[in-house]
This record gives sequence, C-alpha cells and structure tokens, in this order.
Amino acid sequence: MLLASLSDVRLSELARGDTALVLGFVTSDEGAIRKLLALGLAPGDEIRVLATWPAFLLELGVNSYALDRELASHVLVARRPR
Amino acid sequence: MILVGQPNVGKSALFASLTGVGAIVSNYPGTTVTITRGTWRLAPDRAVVVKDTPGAYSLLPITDEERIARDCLFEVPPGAVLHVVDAKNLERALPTTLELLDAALPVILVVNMVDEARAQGFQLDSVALARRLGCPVVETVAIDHVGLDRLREEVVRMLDHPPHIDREPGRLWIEEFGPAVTRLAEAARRENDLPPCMSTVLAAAAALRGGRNLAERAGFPEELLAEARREVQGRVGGIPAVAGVLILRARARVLLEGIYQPPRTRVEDLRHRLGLLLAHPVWGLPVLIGVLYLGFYLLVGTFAAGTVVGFLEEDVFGSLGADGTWEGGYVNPLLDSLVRSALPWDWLAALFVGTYGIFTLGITYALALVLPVVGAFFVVFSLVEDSGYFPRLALLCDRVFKQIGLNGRAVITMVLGLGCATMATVTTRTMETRRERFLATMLLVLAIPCSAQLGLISALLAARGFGLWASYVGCLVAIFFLVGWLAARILPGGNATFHMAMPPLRVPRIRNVLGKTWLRLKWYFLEVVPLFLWASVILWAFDLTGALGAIKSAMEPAMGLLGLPVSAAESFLVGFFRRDFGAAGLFQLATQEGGQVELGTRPLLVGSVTLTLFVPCVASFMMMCKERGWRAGLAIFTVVTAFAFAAGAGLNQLLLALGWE
Repeated sequence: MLLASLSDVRLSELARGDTALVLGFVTSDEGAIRKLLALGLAPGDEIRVLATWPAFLLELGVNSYALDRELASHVLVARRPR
Repeated sequence: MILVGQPNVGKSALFASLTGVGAIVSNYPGTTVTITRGTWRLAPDRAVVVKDTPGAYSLLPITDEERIARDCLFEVPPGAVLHVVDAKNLERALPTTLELLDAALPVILVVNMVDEARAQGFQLDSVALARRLGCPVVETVAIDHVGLDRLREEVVRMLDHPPHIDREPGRLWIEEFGPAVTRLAEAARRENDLPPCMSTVLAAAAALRGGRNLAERAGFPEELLAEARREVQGRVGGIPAVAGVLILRARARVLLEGIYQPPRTRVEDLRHRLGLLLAHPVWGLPVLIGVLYLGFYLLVGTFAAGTVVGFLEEDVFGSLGADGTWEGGYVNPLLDSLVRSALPWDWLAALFVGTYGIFTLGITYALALVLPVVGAFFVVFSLVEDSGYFPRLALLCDRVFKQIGLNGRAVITMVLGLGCATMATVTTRTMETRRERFLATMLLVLAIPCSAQLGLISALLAARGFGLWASYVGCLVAIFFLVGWLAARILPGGNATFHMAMPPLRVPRIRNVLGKTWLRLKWYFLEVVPLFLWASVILWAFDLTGALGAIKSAMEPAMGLLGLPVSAAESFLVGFFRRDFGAAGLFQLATQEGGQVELGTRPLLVGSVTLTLFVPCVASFMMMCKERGWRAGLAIFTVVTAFAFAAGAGLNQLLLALGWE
C-alpha cells in the first residue's frame, strides 16, 4: 500500500514520456468524469504521455487523445518506473 | 437502416460507398452534424434508406450531435443498425456494440479498415465473434469497397428475417445494477418526452449512469433517482457511470478472449513522429505559418483571387466602364448585344445586362469573382482536413482559445468559417455548452471573413503592398480576440474543458479531397448563387425606382464617418446581401481604371475591415437564427452591425490621428 501510494499521482503531474496505469477519477464533477469516459479513458487503462503542453497528448492503445490540464487533473494514475 | 459508430472509423466512407451520396468524409470528428440520408440499392428492384449519424462514442451522449445520433436509433424501429468499428480498436468499440445489442436493436457489426489492421499484425476471428455476439459480423475496407457484397447479403437476410430478439431492452443493466433499474423505470412520467421507441428501462439505466438528458425527458422524480443511484453505487462499489463502462469493457474482453489479438509491438513510424511534431508548441508553429502562407496566402489570395479573377474578369467576362461601354472580355459584351436586340426596352434589358443585371452583376460576380476563390479555398481546406492536421491545430490553439471562452475544438469551426460562415455555423453544434455556441457564432459572423471576401480583399490590399494586407489581418485578429475576451467575461458561465481524439496523420487521398471539394462547392452554389441573383434583382428594382439613390444618400454620413467616398455606399448596401459581394464591389471601385474614384490606402483599409465585420450574408443570418433561435440571432445581428460601423469609424479616426492620409 505504501509503495502504491508513493507512485500515485494525478495525470496532470506526469511528464512527457511517462507511462502510467489509470486508477480512477478524483473529482465531484460527474460531467468531467463522463467526458473522460467518453474519450475512452477508464480505470485499468495503460497510457503514455506524448506531450504535456499546450495540452496533454496521450497514447491509449492504438489511439491518441488530447485533453487539457484541468481534465487531466481529475485522473488518478500510478506512474510506471522508467 | 442506420449507421452508427465512433468518429473516424470510416462510417461516412461506408455511407458514400453504399449510397453514392457523399457525406463529407473527414479525418477529424465533427463533420457529420446532421443525419444524412441516402438510398442503397440492395437489388435492382429493391432499395433501403440509409441514415448516417454523427460520430458518437457511446449511447450516453455529451454533445448535441451525439444526442442526434442516439435519438435517431429510437425514433422508428430500424430494419438494421450497422455498428461501424475500426478493426484496430475493437476492444474499445465492442462495449458500444453490447449496448446496442442490449437495447434489442437489430445490429450488424461492421469491422472496418481490416487491411490496415492486418498489416499492423492484428488477428481477428470474425466468425467466432459473430457466434459469441449472436449477431452478424462483416469485415470491410469501406474506402476500397471491399466486403460490401457480404454486407449486402447480411442486410438482406436481416430485413427478410428480422432477428427474433427475445430479450427485453436493458436486461444487461437489470442484471448488473439490480432492481433499482426496474423500480426507476416504473416511475417514469406517463406522458414522457423519450424518443418513441425507447423503453423506460433503457432510459432508467442511462439516467443511473449519469445521462441527464434522458432523466429529464423520462421525468424520473429527482429524489427517487438519487436514491436509486445510491443503491446502485453500493451494489457496484463505485460511481455508476464508471462502473457501467467497466462492466461493458469486462464483458467485451471476455467476448474477445482468444479470438482477437492486437500486435505485441507497435511500430513507431515516421507518421507518428510527424504527428507529434505538428502538435509541438515550438516546431508546430513554423508548420502552421507555412500552411497559412502557402495554402491560403499564395494559392487562395494571390493566385486565385489575383491572377485567376483578374483574367476571368478582364479577359473573359469584361467589365462595364464608367461611360457605359464594355472594356475587354467576350461574354458580357456578347450577352449585352443579344439581350438588347431581343428586348427593346432599356429598363427591362437592364434587369439582365445593366449595372445591376442578373448576368452582368449576379452571374459575373458568382462565376468570375467568387467561384475561383471559394473553389481554391475548399481545395486547400480539404487537403489540410484530409491529412489529419486539424486536431493538432486544435491542440495547439487550446490555450489561446480558452481566453475567449472557447476551447481548441473551436479552431476547426473558425477555419471552416474562413471558407463559408454559414457552413461553419452549423458545426457549432459539436460544442458542448450554449455559451460556447453563442460565443462561436458571434465571432464567426463578426470577425471571420469568408473565403471569397478574404481572397478579394487580400488581392486588393496585397497589390498595394504587404504592409497594408498585414494591417488588415492584424486589425481583424485584434478585434477577434478583443471581442472574444470581453464577451467571455460578460457572458455568465465557465469555460468548457478540452478533449479530442487525435486521428493518425495520413497522406491526403486525391479522391477524398476532390470529393469533399465538390460537395462543398455544390452546397455553396445551391445556397449562394440564388442569393447573388436575388441581390441583383433587388438592386435593379431599387435603381429603377430611385430607392437606391435615396438609401445611398442616407448612408452618406456613415460613409463620411468611415472616411470613404459616397460611391462606396453601394458596396456596403450590397454587402448586406453578401459580404463577399460587397467586397467585390469595393474591388471594382478600387481597380476601376480611368474611373472617377481611386481609393487611397486608408479608406481601403477602413472599408475592408468594416465590410469584413458585417454579418456575412443573408444565408448566414438565416442559419444563425435557425441554430441559435430568433432572439439570439437578431441580437447578434444588431450588435455586429453596430459594432462594424463603430469599429470602422474608430479605426478611421485612429489612422487619421496617426497621420495616415
């Protein structure tokens, strides 16, 4: 549990090139959650960060998606060691 | 028969292959904003109506266009629902197939782009998948017409022998979410606003998963809904919206086990790296400037609006000199003599070949001035669009657009607006909030010049030096952001967030580009040419009755404020019918050789900016009212017109104060 919590971060804190596992959503804004789900982002997904500025660019399976920092901050992920 | 599926899976390409009617096939989400209908000939004596729906990710819509797609499924019982999916993305698409099957719809799963998937090492046993799903599965390459014969067979079979769907809609959710679903469904208002063929159980499941729209339309009591959600939350151990997706995905994974295998390693090809480069905040910028300069400035502005228009106008059609004789050209002098010999009455002949004649004004403007520019613009736009560049542009512009209350997505609408504002107004439907749609529509009609106008004005100004052109563009960009920034602060509500799928870059396909250009041009001409003709008829009538002179003199003070000659009033009057029409008038005014008026650079700049700020045209005004409602439409119209003149007068004073004579 300790190890897991050490590497738990928000998606918005990831750097370019990081890979991570989506753990869940941390927001009371259900609209934002539905938007993320509609993008195809759900707990259990493996993601890779391709860019962080001006917006986040994620690789998710065979697809790439862009989302802004605000949406990214709602996503809890576990960063994989480099 | 209805086509559904995520954006960018080849749905519109399939539709075009089946029906021959082209929906505009695009490499970015958001081009099909209404239901397109076509007919598919299944056999010589048999045809079926096909509806193409806007791309949607799930049965729980977020934007209006997705809602349109969802509602379409439940309006009348469809004969067949083709769920079109990308073979490379089956794991993520199959949950939606399960939703459709659960809704007791007659589904055929169309696994598209199998060629690309095979090439990348995907393995799929579609026969086994069909058996497990209990619905037909057809592999296709829609863009190359591969697999359409099998699809035809399956559709015929489905129409002749409708599948015996014994399950009630929404059983999956009753199983997963428990008795709360049926309890909620029973509490729906008797006279509800649900789509006619949607069961209350499905609506209840959607409401539990956070579907606000259906919850309201079904009339579920708020308290009961909240209680049912708490109950479901306890049962599934999490937010029902998230649990719903996880449940569907888990079921999809089980279904695909052993019969679908994505490749182990992914090739990171050049395309991928180029895609990243274009979305790069530093390296992306030179590319953007390059695209704008090469495509829009050189090709549309200089070549189409300068060279081609000049040739067509002076050497082919001919222009009417100040003394009433024709200078150069073949078409108009010929028509002139033909009409005048057939119609002895001067006033009637003027309807066709006079200063405001249908041929000499309306058709000449439409064919010689506007067609080359709009055509060139649509070619460039379609090329850029087909390459998949726009989503990258959206990502790059997101931060800037947040400042004006929009998000990066809006940039595609704005670029399309550079082609035709009317067309672009329709695509504001892809935006999430009313606030965004209002802001985008207003900016679109205010500060975005349409291609014909931009092309003509650019040619006009660039001929007097790059500096003048740059000042014009600078003024518009400044006004665009200033007005947007202010409006975003005045209008209540928060900014929408940005999210967008990034389709892979690809080399544009010539057939696609030509097809898209043709469809856009067709649309443009059906909408616009009649307006050109009406404008010349109305101007002719005004001229004949003397009303034209009266209006012109009434506009004199306004022209004075703008520092323009009185004769420019005509361009402005015409500008009410179409902005590009007015621009064409200004163009003629300024280039009239030996004519009485030679516009200086200051009035030219002021005139160009003021004309650009006008509401684009009658068509766009009507569209604005249709999309935003009459009140919002009229409000935008009034504000924009007043603002156009105020800004023009202000600019004139500013330039005078700066000593620009």
